[in-house]
Amino acid sequence: MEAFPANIMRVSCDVLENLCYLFADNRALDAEEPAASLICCLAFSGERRGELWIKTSKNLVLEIAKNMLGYDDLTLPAWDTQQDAFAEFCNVLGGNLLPAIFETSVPLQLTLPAIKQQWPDEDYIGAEGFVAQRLALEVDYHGIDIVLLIKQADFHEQNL
Amino acid sequence: MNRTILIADDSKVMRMIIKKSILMSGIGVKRIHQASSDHEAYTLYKAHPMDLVFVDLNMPEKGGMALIEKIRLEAEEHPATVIVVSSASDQKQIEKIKALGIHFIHKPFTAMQLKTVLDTVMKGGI
Repeated sequence: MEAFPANIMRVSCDVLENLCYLFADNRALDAEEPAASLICCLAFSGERRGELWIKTSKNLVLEIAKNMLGYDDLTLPAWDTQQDAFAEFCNVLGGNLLPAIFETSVPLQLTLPAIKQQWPDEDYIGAEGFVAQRLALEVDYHGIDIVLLIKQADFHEQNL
Repeated sequence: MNRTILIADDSKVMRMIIKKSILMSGIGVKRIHQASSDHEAYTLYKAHPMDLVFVDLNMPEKGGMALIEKIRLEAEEHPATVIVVSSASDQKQIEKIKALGIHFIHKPFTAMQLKTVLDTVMKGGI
């Protein structure tokens, strides 16, 4: 997988900062993947087709939920609420990332975010005919992995 | 003056964030209604005169623009101020919305950004 360019990193950091009050930094692509993860996927269609996958640890999901919803340190949001908050974070991230990556004449259509059990592996990526790009972030010692899968036929080097 | 407000967004979390930001802004609030689809929002709108309506563009059924069109058709009966809250980044679409006299807040937003828009709306006299 190849890395995203810097502007995609900036957009991701802006969403984390403005929506979740969290500050992200770059993380080495070969760094360990987030443990005990929650995975979310959004598919997009239109002039470009593909999927956006986001994964992070359950500890960071808790922080995202608490910050988005304004919970204090003593209150623990229900797991369903934490998942809803993470899904909405992914929804907003997708809504901001895709226009930053692709210049399309008509906005791309995004599906609702879906919580997934399995991270896309090389077999899945190959079987679906995707090209993969990866961004690795670190927030308060927790990793966030973002993978953009673009249909091979819709992949143009100038977009990335 | 206390206002009746409607938040139309399919995300429960986003409705909670908008509600929290409204309450933090300090404007007078009589009641905040919430809807998760354009149909539910329109039913509430017909039942309760609203001063302010927050609309997400990407909602189930016909979406936020359909809701806005319906609300604007009823403008003489219930003149509500509409604020679109969306992650849409297409400038043509945003300009089209603003040209209709609708305020636009881009997701993600901070409570301060929402307050700034509300302050502008309040100056307009709602």
